[in-house]
Amino acid sequence: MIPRDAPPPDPDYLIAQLREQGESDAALADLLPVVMQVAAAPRPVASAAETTHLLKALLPLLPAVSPVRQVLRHEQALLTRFLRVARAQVSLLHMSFWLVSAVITLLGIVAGLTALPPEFALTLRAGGPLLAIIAVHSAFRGARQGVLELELSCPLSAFGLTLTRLVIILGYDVLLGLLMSSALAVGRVEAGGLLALTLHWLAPLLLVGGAALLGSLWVRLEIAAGASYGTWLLLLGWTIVEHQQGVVSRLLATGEGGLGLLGLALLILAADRVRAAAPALLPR
Amino acid sequence: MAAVQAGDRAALAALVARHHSSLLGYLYNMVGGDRPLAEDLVQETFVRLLRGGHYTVDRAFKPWLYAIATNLARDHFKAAATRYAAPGAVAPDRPDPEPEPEAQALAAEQGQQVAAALARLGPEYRAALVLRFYGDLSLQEVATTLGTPVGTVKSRLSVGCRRLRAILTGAQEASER
Repeated sequence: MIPRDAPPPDPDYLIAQLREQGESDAALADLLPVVMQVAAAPRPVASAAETTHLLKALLPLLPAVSPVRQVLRHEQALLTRFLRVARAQVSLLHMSFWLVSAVITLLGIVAGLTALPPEFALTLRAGGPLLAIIAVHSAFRGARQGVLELELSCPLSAFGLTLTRLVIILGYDVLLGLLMSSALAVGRVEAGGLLALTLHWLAPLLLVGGAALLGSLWVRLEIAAGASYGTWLLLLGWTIVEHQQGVVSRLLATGEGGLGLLGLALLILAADRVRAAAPALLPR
Repeated sequence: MAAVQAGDRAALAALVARHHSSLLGYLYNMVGGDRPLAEDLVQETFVRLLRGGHYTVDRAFKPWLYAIATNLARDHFKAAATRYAAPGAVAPDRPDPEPEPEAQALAAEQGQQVAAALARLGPEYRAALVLRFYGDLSLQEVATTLGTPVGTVKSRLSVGCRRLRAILTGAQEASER
């Protein structure tokens, strides 16, 4: 490329530069034309093609980053992005969600510590899903309120948003539940240990939460949540009617782990279905 | 530069795009207006940059880059002097050595009087003048680039200005005759 002319140099600036190097006022007149010519010397410009060519020659010399380091960087970036999104999503949850969930947990601890053995497990099985219902309603209440359009316009996918919200609300619920289990495990040694206590509330929490979220793709969230929790309470009521001897009672006693896994599967299915169902949920 | 050292391609592209033309201009004037030679030296500067690996983030990048370029230009002229000097010949002392006829002819042909005049200066004066008045580096940056104290830079600038003035005046008088 042809060298381009330099912009006209500023004499005052050059005089200041000459003074800075210790030139006397008498010498300035002689030296200024010289440095002006240097400052205005031809300035060759590298063309885009030349820069590309140079870059092509340099790229093989770039230090290679090991695959392990690349994976670590990628994971760090993913984690950072998740934390940013999570921070924004947390701000969408009302203060009432955090407080009510904590109060329910506190009541669960009190009830668990004072109730007799059969009702003791019943209390946890009824309280756990209530946390899930409140959480799902708080995090996904906007699905049919016309805000989905805004959510879908953000860079993150609907699937990503759903997963982030689930991690936040379930994380908070599980944290509260674990506090409750720990308190009860200390206060009621005969209750069966931390794992059994945790399963009492965690399995129905996942099952009812997953069913409510999946159902909300077809009916209003309130109806889906009410139906899921109502059905669960009916099943618990049935165990009272059959005096802990029937099929439902035996299922709850022995298959809580399976119910929890089923709930987890429902949650994953619901999150996946959000991706396909999102356009149908947009306001019309 | 830290990202480039970590193997970031985008960072290298940004670095090259940012400094390519300015470095080319500096070397172009350092080698008497020989553009192909300046381009070769630019590439070699970036190659040294990537292979060197001595850069630390607490150092100013531009003086470091220009120091590599200056050393390369200096090495080039040393090698050229060795090639053209007769065995046992003593390198000309002050005043500054004449530039290679080829470079001088090329510079004259391109009508770049300043580049040709600069080429007649000693490399240490030429580098100081070009860095200071053409590259607009501060005295401290010029000192860092050349690896000399600021006082020495001032001295070289002062002497370099006067020698360049003498060369330009002589060239003007010759052309008028």
